[in-house]
Amino acid sequence: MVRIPAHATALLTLGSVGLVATIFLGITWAPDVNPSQWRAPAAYRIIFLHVPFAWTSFLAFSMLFWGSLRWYLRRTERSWRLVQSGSDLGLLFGFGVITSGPIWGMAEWGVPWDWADLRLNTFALLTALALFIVMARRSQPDHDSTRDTIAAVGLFGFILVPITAVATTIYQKRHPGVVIIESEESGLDPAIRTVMLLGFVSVTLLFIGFSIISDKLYSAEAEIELNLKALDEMHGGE
Amino acid sequence: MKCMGANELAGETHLIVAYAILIGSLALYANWLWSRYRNVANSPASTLEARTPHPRDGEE
Repeated sequence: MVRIPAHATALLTLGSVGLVATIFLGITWAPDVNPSQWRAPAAYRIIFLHVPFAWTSFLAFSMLFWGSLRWYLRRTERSWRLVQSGSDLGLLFGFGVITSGPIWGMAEWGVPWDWADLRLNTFALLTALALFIVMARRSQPDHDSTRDTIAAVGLFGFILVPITAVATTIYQKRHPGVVIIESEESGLDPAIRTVMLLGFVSVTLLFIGFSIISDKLYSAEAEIELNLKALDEMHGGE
Repeated sequence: MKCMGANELAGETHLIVAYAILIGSLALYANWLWSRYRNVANSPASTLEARTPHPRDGEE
């Protein structure tokens, strides 16, 4: 019988507590922004979860890329489970980013989306890629040829990650630029940076906990599938 | 007590909706993992059962 590892549960608990603390500190401790310079000052606090979700989605997309690469090199079940968990978590965190971002955009810019902005559109493509992989895995028969196709999408789609990461540096249209790395332009308040980093640590702990549990479950489900096949063959051969 | 102007509050609804979606999506994912865990734990094809033929298997 599958058992959820105790350290994964501990990571999820720590991450959840950290997430609650991030929201609490983000609302009560982080300073207000100048209301005369912002159209929707209260909405800026969305960044305390939006940015950690975005960073964590990159971790998930990296897991997807690593799994896809390993699938081509070694063709092991473990590699395939990385593709499965990476695409699930990429979709989860990517979905959070592409919903919370436009909500902030609606409040601050007056429009939810800008089709001319590089980062918005490459990130949306990344999330669409994770959605495609999740849907393909569920709708297609689980053969090596299907896995090859899906892994190819995960492998080559990863090129969007570095493009998205540097998008605001090389081509900033509307999305705000890099805020955490110290620079003359960022001018980020230390309290805001601290809350954002707490958010990042919390969401990363959740990501690691989810990854461990997801891997265990995919492994157990694959074993059950094999056992069912063995049972069918046993009964079919009688 | 600090008196907040209308502009300072602008975007509060957006903030609540965004936080609700983000926390809600994490909760939904956790719930999905939990339901998969229950399915796996309750599956009749557990390792031992699947590998050990039932004593009545093969009887006519």
